[in-house]
Amino acid sequence: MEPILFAIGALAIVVFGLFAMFTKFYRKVEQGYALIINKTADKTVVTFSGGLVLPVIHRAELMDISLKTIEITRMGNEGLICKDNIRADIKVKFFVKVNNLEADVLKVAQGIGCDRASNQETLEELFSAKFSEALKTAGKRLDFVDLYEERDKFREAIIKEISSNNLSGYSLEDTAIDYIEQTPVHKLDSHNILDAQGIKKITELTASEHVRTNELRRNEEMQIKKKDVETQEALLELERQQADAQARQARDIASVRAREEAETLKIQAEEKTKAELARLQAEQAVAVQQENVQREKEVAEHNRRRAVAIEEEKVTRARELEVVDREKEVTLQRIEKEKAVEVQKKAISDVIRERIVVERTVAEQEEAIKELRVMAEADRTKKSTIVLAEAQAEEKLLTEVKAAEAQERRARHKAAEELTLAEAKLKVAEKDAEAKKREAEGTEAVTAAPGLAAAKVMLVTADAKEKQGLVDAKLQLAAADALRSRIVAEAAGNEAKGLADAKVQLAAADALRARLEAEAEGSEKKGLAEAQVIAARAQAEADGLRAKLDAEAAGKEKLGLAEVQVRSADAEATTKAGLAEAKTVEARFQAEANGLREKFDAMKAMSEDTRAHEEFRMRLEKNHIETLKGLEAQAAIARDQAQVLGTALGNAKIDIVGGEGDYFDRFVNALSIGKGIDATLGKSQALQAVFKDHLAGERDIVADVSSVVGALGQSSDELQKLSLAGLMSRVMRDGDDSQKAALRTLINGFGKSLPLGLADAKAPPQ
Amino acid sequence: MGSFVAAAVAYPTAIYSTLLGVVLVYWLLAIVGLVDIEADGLNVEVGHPVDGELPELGAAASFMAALGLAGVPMSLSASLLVLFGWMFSCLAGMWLLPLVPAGGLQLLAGSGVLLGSALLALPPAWLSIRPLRSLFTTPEAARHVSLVGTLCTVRTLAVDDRHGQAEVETGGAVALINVRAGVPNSLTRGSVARILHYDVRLDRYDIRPEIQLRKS
Repeated sequence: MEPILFAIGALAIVVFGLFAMFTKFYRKVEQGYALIINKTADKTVVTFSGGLVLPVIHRAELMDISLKTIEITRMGNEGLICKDNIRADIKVKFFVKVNNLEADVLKVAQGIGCDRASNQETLEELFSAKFSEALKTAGKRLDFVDLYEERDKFREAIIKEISSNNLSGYSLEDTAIDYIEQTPVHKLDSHNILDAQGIKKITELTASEHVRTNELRRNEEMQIKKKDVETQEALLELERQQADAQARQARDIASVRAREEAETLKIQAEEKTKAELARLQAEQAVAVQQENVQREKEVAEHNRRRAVAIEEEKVTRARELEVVDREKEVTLQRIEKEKAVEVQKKAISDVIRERIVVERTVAEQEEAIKELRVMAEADRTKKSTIVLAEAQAEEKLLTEVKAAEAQERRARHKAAEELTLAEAKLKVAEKDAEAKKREAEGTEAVTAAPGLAAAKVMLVTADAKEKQGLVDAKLQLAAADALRSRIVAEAAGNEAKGLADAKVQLAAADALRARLEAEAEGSEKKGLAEAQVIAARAQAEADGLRAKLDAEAAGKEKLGLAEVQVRSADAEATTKAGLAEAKTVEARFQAEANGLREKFDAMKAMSEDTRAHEEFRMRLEKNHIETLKGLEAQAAIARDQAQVLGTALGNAKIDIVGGEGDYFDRFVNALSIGKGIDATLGKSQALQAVFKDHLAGERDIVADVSSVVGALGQSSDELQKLSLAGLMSRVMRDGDDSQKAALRTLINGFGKSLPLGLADAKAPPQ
Repeated sequence: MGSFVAAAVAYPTAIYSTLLGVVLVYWLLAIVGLVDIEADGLNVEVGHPVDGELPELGAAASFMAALGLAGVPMSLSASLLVLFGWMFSCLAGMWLLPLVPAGGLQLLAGSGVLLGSALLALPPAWLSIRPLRSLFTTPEAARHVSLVGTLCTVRTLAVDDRHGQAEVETGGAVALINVRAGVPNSLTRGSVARILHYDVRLDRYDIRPEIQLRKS
């Protein structure tokens, strides 16, 4: 069995060796290569995939059978000559390869060799000549232009030329004309036959072409320029159109805007107008309504006022009636009162007279006491003086002299002082007396007043009553005037009343003053008598004393002392005389003061009237100044009037009652009062309104005043006359024709009821 | 073991053993790689393996081819023959020859064994070679003659009786061949034609336009 085992081992070795050999000696071939294995001398294998190449026994060769390119370039004077003898610069690529056929591969391998066949340069060396030849041959068969236009033909020609030759196993795959251009003329040789022909042809062609080209270029330029110009024109046209359009657009916009604005403004104006009209209408309506309202209001107001005025008038009428009644009552009562007062005053006067009697007794007693005192004093003085004189005569001679001198001086001064005081007191008394005189005058006026006041009141009342119808008729027109006139009338009435009161008071005061003066004179005379008695006594005493002193001085022979004594006695005498005088004056003034005090006490009893009187007196003073001025102005008038009156009175038989001066005073007074009334009438519109009808002659003043006149006494008659005389003279002096006519009618009307004097005065002189 | 060694070194096995030794050395060297010498280092005379038609076949090669041992390298087939021959010779020397009396008779029997074992080695060697043959076949390039009858595509614009080119497929790659055809013809580029004949002298193929069968 060992041989088998050994054989198996050997077989394994063989198998391993076989595998090792296979892997080691099998050659694979890449694509594009051919493997040529020379096995034996007579056996060659060509494979493209691979085969076992045993060492020593086989021989293997690799050959590149991939596509090869061979480039043939002919340029410049070596350029390809075409059929028309034009040279062309040309680059041609030839693609050659070995067919994968055993015969071709072996042909290449044997003819060229594997190494050389794989080398590019070798191939170019081998084939460039052949290819150039084929190229020339093919190129000479075609015109230059055909080289471009018929490349396929050109290629076919080349291939035909080459394939007719043997490429020793290689086969021409393809040819590609890489670059073909006409050779530039400057590279051509003009001495070469073919080149000369070529140049000629080129020149022919290119000249015409140049001409055409130039023409075309110029045409092109021309067209370009033309186009440019056209473009420019078109652009300008377009710009113009654009500008035009813009301008038109702007114009349209502006016009539209302006139109719209105008429309807007118009509408605004219209609206404003409408609004204004509406506003004005509204205002008008409002104003109309306001006016209506105002009118209504005023109508209502007037109605109200009318009603109120009517009512007021009614009330006033009632009140005034009441007032008149009251005043009548009051006046009656006052007259009663005054009567009672006068009775009481008479009683008081009696009492006063009794008291004065008592006082006289008292004064007599006092004088007796004083006398007694003086006597005692004188005695005591005498004694003490004697003693003192005796005691001190010698001791105080010098002193006495000096003291006497001093006393003399002092006494002189004292006397002067006393004198001055007395004079002052005298002046005061005089002033008081004047005041009392004035008061007496006022009292006199007051006393005269009530009758006059009553007369005025009645006159005014009568006027008012008679005016009532007229007032009712002309209520709306002259209510205020009537009211005012009435007020003024009242004022005038009051004034008159005041005047009357004042006159009454003046009269009373006059009476009182007369009485007081009488009393004062009485007391004064009594005082004077007493003073004279006292003075006489004192004088007597002084004389006695002086005589005694003289006697004593003479007796003591002390002339100086005597002189001193005498002087001192003189001084004392003078002092005493001054004292007596002062006492006299004091007593007199005391009496006057008492009278005054009583008067004022009496006046205090009627204080209201007094106050009114005072006020009225102040007014009177004020008016007095005015009246004085007026009087100065009227002085001339008064003179003329006096002449007129003188002539008139010279022709008249005047029954003069009372004293001459009395009548003249009254006459002048009445004249002045008439003047005052006339001035009041001239200045006062109210009075003119009241007496308008009278002035115009429509109403008969005599009829109006007759009732008053009837009520008035003789004085009022005179007053009327005088005031009428003043009025007449004034009217005749500076009135117009109508007034004069009115006055004449008035004077004619006087003929019926005038008292004797004026009727005679009116009658023309016989 | 002793009988084996004795048999191996004894006549007739010793001849085979020598050959076997040579073979083993050869293969061991092949394995080691010392044999990989391109140059003519070892000119060992072995039989050339017959590969296809050969104009003059050697005796050994023809003998091998006759025995059906061709298709593989000679060294392999010879090695297999030697190996199987040595095995049969050694077995016979161990088991049969001791039965033969020594002397001339033994020599005679040994010569018989030598020949017999060589004959007996042929079948297993052939059996072993058969699967290995495909390993040693080489794909070869096509030949001109093999293209005749195939179709080709004309590449030139025209084909006349002298010039023309066509493409033909040769198993993958395309070969360019020079063709000619009788004029007038309708052949132009892209036309399909059939190769009719190969002119070796001119290296030209005669082609004829392929007639398209109309489908009725």
